[in-house]
Amino acid sequence: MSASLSESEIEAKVVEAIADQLGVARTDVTRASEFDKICDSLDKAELMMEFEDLFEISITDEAASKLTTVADAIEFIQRTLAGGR
Amino acid sequence: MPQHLEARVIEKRVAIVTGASRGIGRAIAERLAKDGRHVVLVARSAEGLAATDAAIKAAGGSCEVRPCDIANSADVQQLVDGVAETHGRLDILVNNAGITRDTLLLRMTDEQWDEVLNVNLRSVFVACRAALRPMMRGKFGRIVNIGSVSGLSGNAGQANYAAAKAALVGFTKTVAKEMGAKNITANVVAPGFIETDMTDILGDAVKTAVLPNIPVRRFGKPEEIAAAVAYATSDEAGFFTAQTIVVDGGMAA
Repeated sequence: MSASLSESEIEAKVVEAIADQLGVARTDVTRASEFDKICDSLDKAELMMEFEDLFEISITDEAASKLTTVADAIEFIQRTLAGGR
Repeated sequence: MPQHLEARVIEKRVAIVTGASRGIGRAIAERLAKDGRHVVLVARSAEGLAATDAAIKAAGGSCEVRPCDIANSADVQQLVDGVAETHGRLDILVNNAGITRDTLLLRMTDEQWDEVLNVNLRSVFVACRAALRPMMRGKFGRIVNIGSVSGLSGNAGQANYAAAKAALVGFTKTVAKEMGAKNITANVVAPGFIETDMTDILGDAVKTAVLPNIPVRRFGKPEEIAAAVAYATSDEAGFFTAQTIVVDGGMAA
């Protein structure tokens, strides 16, 4: 996965992954959605794994614990992709 | 298509069996191969696995040899990661490898305790933790940890071994509860006295003393443990989890 993804491309991929994982419509997942409200801890762990695969990044447990909303995750991924290369 | 599906290069379910060079582990490996799994044979040395490897291939089964010192956590992690990477999947994990360092508690050294706990318990924790990721990706997982009646009833001379095997039960139930929603099951198969190298070293006096306590009046065969593992790791065993199956001829009942 390239570092040149725009924020909206990252958002689209993140929302798609969450919707697929939880079996909900993409329109039900917004930037403001909170992981704790839309899924349980195991689902969240699996989502982090999915993001790691999708964007070829590493998300430590500590970093994951700070990702409260979908927007947090998008920003974290964007920052990591930008800073990691 | 998600990356993990593209990477899947083998159609058969992939199973790791540790301690596959002889005894119960070898019987499990042969049975799983016979049931159509691709079996990754694990033991300390490749030479030790040659006989199992040859037997499976001669019978038309699919397998490969991966030496690993399971006392070494980094090696165990690398083993599981390597299998998942090579095949794009890991469906079944059978933690069978184990050692004994028997002596009465009065005489047991810290080293004997640590060595047995390290090989029989810590390695299982590391292997299971590593296996969860590929199993979650594949949306399927069957974990069997080989326990022992020693861990359920206690056994003189085996304070270390019994402690490790008892711990496996609580550990395995926890894995089952954490992963239940992900189609990953975890069970313990606890053998009683089975005809293997591990029990061959017992003196005739011990064997004679043990037999009256086994309702079936004989030692078990490794194949009889493998049959239980075959069920617990089958596709149809999705509702069977967090259990300890005791295969001991009725001894511990």
